[in-house]
Order: sequence, then structure tokens, then C-alpha cells
Amino acid sequence: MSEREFEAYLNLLARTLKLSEAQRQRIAGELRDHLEERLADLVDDGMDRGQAILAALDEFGDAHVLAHDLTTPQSYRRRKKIIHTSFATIAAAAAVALAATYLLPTNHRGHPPQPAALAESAPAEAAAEEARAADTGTESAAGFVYIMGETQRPGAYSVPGKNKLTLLQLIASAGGLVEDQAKDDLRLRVVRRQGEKSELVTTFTYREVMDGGEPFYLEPDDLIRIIADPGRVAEKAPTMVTFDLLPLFELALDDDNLEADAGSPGLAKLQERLAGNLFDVLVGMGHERDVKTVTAWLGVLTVVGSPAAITDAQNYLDQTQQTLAKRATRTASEPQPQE
Amino acid sequence: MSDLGEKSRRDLFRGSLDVMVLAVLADGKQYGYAIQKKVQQASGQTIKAGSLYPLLHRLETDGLIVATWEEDTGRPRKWYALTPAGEKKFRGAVADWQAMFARIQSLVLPALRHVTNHPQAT
Repeated sequence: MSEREFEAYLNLLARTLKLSEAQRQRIAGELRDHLEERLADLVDDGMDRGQAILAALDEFGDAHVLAHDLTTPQSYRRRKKIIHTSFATIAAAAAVALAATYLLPTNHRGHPPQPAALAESAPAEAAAEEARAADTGTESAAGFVYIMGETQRPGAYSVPGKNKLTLLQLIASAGGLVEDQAKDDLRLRVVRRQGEKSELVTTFTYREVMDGGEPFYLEPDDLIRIIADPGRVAEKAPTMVTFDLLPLFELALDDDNLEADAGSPGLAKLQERLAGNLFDVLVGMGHERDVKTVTAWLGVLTVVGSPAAITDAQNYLDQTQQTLAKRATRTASEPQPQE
Repeated sequence: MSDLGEKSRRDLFRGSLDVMVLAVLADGKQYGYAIQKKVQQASGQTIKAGSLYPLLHRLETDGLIVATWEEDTGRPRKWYALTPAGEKKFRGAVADWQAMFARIQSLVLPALRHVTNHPQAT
């Protein structure tokens, strides 16, 4: 009997937790209990139900931040900063790239102005933030690597910075490869970022990685894509987590990549997958009450999403803005409560 | 309270959070939401749910508290209780804490009297 918003949040959280299914369900169960209790209390206190739902979720903060805090509790303060940076980077990169490549030549007037405006400031800020975060570590920088494709748990995985992560370890962390895959046909492609532009580093066969030999060390922001041999691409339900969006955008936008991969999903497939994900993303992010980021995502959605997903997202954005406006009026008219 | 400054007050609160949670559980088993309410009522400070659960799970991983699930309320609820290790840690932390406050006060309180008796001309 849980609220739709609660379930969307818990679902997003559970998918991001890099834990066993049973552990994820236990955590979701505990947080659901808290959310329901909190909602009941707030409604008892006279708050409007819709507002109470948002307020209860707001106290948990962003689902991805919480997921990381729960899986790496020891270093949760440090992580928090890094994850926020990643979000800014993803939103900005996605918005800029999509707007520039697909929209501008053909459909300039349909493009909402916000992502482009955001694009000018966000990457610079994010880069500065990243540089500051990197400066604080004496070891190699901590961050995330991304794995997508034919693996059990695609998503973003943290690189602790102290101990280098190998490609094989990452695949193990991601639960191995999807079953029933003709493993000899699999290719593992590692894309390493060099500044603004992605650069293809190398492609491994499944055997090269699994049969030992030289370990391949990963660096933050590496993107690993596991590709089934063209012609044998298995149809899969869209189950990707949010962090997959950035690699997807990058790959989809890289024409060379599209051509090189005969089995690549292409833009139509990309749209289909994103439409299913973006509303979740918006809900998850909106709880940070960051209208700028939500707006940026909405811009992306306008380009690639289905009409239904766009409507959902627009409603959500309106709701967020209304809540913010109400809150602003409340705090302006009332004396600031002692925190 | 107003002179301490928001940041100092939050830092002090954050630094005391583990001990406060252990103190709540020393009183008997509790679940997350109730722990949050008790800590907030006692301290007058807000603890976000997003900070509380990582903290509880860390204490659980460290073996200071232990969790059990019960279904009396209609939906599963996770209850936390102190372990013997948690009790020991709590006693040690409180002793440590009090000793530290005593030492700080031995400096601060006499100095306060000094300032009160000789207000500075401005």
C-alpha cells in the first residue's frame, strides 16, 4: 500500500545498491517503514498529503547518494561530494551533446533554452570541483567506472583510489556476465576519457580477460562496454541504472562508434530505453530540489523521450517548482525555525 | 545557543551523533524512525533520514548494534538493540566525553568569570 512516489524512490535506490537482492529488499523494507511512518506523522500534523510525501522523501536526499552512503558507510562524507559532481557532469554533458548533435541542425526552435544556458557554466564548475576532489587525495584519484552491456548489474562502480581496480575485478563486482551468452563471441571495449573527448583504448576478447595474464587496471571515468558479437545481440529489457545514461549518450553520439558496431542499438533503441528511465531519474534527482538539474534533464527528454514520458516529467518539474515556491513563501513569511 | 554559530553547532552535533544513538538504544531496542525522533527531541538538532540510516548500518557492521525484524505493525520493521560490544563502547565514549568536557570547562568557565567581571570598553 505504499505510495507511488515512495516505490519509485525505493526502486531507484535498490537498483543502485550494489548488494544482493535480499540485502536490497531489506534496506528498501526498512526505509519504506520509515517513509510510511513519517508520512502519517506529517499528515497528522496537518500537512497536505502530496506535500507530506515529498517532504518525507526529501529527508532521505538523493537516492544515488544514499545508495552509496549505505554501501560504503565508512567514507560516506567524501563520496557524497564526488557523486554530486558526477551528476552535474552527466546532466551537462548529456544536454550539451544531444542538443548540439541532433537538435540544432534540424529543429532549432523546438529546443528548450535551459540546457544550453546551463551548459556554459556547469562543465566548468564540475571540472573545478573534480579537480578539487582529486587534489585532496595523495593516491590515484577516486571516482567511478561505468560498465554496460551484457553484464548482470550494469552501472557505475566506485574506484577507491587506493587500490587499483582491474577489469576482471570490475566484472566480478558487476555480477559477472549475463547467462546464456555465447561467451567466446563477447568483446570488452574499454573507453578511457582524455579531457573532453572519449578515446577508444582497447578491445579485449572474453578469453583474454578471463584467462588471466596481465591485469588491466582501470582509471576513474573509464567506460567498459561488453558487446555481444554483431548478429547475436540478445534482446534485453531496459533494466539499466541511471549512471548508464552518460555512456549511452556518449556512444550514441559518436558516429564512428555507431558505424563500427553493427549491433549497436542506434538512436531509435536509445530513445526507447531512455524513455523508460528518465522519469525515474527526474524523480530521484528532484528530491534534491535542484530545479536546474531537473530542467536540464527535461531538455534531454524533450529530444529523446516519448510524449508520455515528457508529460510525466513536465508535471513533475511543475510540482517541484510549486513546492519550492510555496516553501520560499513560507520561510519568508515565518520566522526561521531553530534547526 | 545563537552565539556558537550554525557550523560549530552542527559539527558538535555530528561528532556526538554516534554516542546519542547508542544512548537511545541503551534505553531499550528501537527502530530507525523512533531513534531519529528521540535524538531530535533531545538535541534540538535535525538529523536527516539520509544520514541516520548509513550511520545505523555502520554501527551494525561494526557489531555495536544488532538488528531484528518484526511484523507486529503490519509491515516489517527493523529493530536495533545494543550488543555487549556496543554497551562497552558506549560506556567508554561517555566517560571519554565527560572527561573532555570537564577539561574544556576548567579552561572556559574561569575565563568566563574573568570576562564578566571586567567588561571590555568598546
